[in-house]
Amino acid sequence: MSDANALARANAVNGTPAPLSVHSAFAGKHVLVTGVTGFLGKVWLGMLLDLVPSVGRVSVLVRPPRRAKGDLTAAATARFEKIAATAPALRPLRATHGAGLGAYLDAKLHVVAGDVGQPLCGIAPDELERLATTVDIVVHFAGLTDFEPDPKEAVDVNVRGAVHVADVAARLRVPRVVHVSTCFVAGRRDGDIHEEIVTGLTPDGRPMDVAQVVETLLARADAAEAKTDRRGAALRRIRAEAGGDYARELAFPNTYTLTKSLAEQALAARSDVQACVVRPAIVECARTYPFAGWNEGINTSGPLVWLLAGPFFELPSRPEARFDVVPVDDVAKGTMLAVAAALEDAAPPVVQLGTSHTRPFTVGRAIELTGLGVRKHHERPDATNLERLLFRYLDAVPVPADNDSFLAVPNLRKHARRLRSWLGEVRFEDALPEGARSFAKKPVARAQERVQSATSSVETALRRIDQMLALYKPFIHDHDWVFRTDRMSALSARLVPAERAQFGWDVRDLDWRSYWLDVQIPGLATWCLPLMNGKTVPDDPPAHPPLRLARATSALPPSASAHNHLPQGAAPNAGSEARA
Amino acid sequence: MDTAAIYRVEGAVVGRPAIAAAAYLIGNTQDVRERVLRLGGVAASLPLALGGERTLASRVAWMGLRGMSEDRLAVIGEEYGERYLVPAIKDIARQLLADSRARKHRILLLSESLDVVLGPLAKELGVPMSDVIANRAELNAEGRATGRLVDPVVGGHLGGGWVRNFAKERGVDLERSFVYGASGGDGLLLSSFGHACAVTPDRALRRLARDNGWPVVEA
Repeated sequence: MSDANALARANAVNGTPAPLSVHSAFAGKHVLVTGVTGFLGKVWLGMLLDLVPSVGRVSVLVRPPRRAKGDLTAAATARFEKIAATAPALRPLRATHGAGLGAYLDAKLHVVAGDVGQPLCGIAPDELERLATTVDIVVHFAGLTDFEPDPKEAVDVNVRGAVHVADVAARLRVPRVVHVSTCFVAGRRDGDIHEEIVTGLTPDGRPMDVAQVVETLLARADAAEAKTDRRGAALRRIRAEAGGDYARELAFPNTYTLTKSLAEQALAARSDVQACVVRPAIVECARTYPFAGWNEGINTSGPLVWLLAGPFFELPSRPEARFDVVPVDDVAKGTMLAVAAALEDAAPPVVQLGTSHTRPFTVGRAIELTGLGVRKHHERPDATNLERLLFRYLDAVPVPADNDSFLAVPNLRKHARRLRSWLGEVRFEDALPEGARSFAKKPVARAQERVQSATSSVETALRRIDQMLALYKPFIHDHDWVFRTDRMSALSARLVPAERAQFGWDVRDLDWRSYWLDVQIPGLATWCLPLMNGKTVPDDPPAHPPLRLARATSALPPSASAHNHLPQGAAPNAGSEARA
Repeated sequence: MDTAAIYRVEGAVVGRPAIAAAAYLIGNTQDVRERVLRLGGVAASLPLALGGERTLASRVAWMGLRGMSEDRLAVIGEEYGERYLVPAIKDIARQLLADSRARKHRILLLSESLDVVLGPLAKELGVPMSDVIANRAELNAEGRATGRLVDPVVGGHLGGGWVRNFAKERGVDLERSFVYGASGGDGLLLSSFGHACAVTPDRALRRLARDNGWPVVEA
């Protein structure tokens, strides 16, 4: 045990804050991580492997591809190899190790095939037994972050997943688990949200029981399914809506926040694990790590920026409400601190990672800066004159939710519907002069069909926008949350001075204008908006020769934790119980 | 005490008046519907400017900024500077600045416009923003413009007490320093320094230059 560790434990007992060193806390420790293929998990893993080389061993739980057969560990490893070789989030790690990355990962990293949706995360029994004797902590990032997914998937991944992870943690010598949740489990209420778990109550104070809510949530989705003969995406939407409606009845903004709250409450009820819950707010583009602007997938502000980057000029929103955006690298640093403290058995039960407490940003400011950012973006040399004209002179403005102007989305939908129906009834060719009918009839009819089809597409797009606005309304209109970060700040204050620049939690220096215009908008334009327009974003080119990690799962290298004493050589039948 | 070269931006460095920057900023308020109304204020300030009341005209014109966010002022101001001021820098101004620099004079830019529009110009001319003397929009606690300018307002007729304060604050030796202006309104300013120069002057300044023996530089 390092001096810093010893001091930390001694002071934790005495009740006085002790210096915290991330490097010392992780030294020689074995960490099992879930969700490393996701946005935040990947950044955190990259940061850990790149910036905390003192860590003894990192086991990553990776779900093998769905179609994988046979050796699932090999399939999961191959999946992770691709990520390690090409994920932009791991660029700094690749830059640090260059051609030696494979050797470094072989020394430090171990891929475990599994799926958090399965009991004991679907980890093969012999593998689980080995992990239980060496792992010091489980860090659980895996989750389904769609706002309104199918309730069954949300329960399987977000609620049961957390329980399964806790079951794995309970088997460790010291049953530590850090569970990544969301600040928005606060639900539909306003004002200060403290770093605490409220169990057995809905956000508006009504009694709730985790098991009963899970049962009702699934039953609601099944009942909705039973009432319809629709299949495929339409059925999925019906089930998702039923789940979302139930979440809102319980005063949660959506199914995602409900299921995350259920997971927190389930963990809080466990006496067999030492759980620390990390709650980020809206996780967005990186400030500096892995590089400025990095983002992945379609996150919360992406769709809003997408809307405002189009010809959409009225956003139902509350301009003065706080919009708690936090860069992903700040979240990764905060999580690193929480895990370090948990490794020293000195972590608070909950920490929040947001900006609304110490560096508030508002919805109105986000809308205005987005308009300004889009305007700057459209000044690029390849922009068309129409784009420049539109975005130079028309800005989106916040409007009340009950706005009934001509440009309000429900009204635009009405106009589009009327136009389509009128186009269906009127026959333009009849209005042509007699002499022109013979040659102009067909082109006019074709043009009419084209306009009708375009109107129909506009109507569909407006319906999608209307649904999107309904999903985002709780976050930009209905509530004004202040996610307190007192405990996180106190934890950061414990950090030894030499590590403050690297891992300190401090968002007070965030310059929102510069962040939004120079980092967030360009980051979303590169990594998120193409996805919303049906395009893809490129991975980094793979290295030559291709990265290939060792498959022998039980052969732990000498650099692993001092208490690793596993049998060498025997390749386990890992993944035989993992769900594909 | 430094020997300085003070350039009046409007006229001596660029041909565009400060009121054009006001019109541009106000014409780009967030709410499109407000733009026309606010531009009316700029139009109202024109007769004042033409009547020689440049300080009052400035105050009236900039009133249209009321409610505009600091973010918008910064972004649109920079856009105006890049798009309209930098391309409008006079060749003669560049030559004079090069000459001042060769003579190791400390270069100061003096403008009736807002500081937010002058960043790109100052950068282009290699002058640090700390040596740009311009107006600043007063902001309220929410970071929105009140429509007032922060005192002391840089107006059209600068001289006397303003120049003495300026020299004291900036550590400028008035007798040894050089000043470059372009309009009749700059007469008082030019006469306050040891060395004055009229750059492509208007009729009023040309007459003053002749009377005072100031050199006149033409483009």
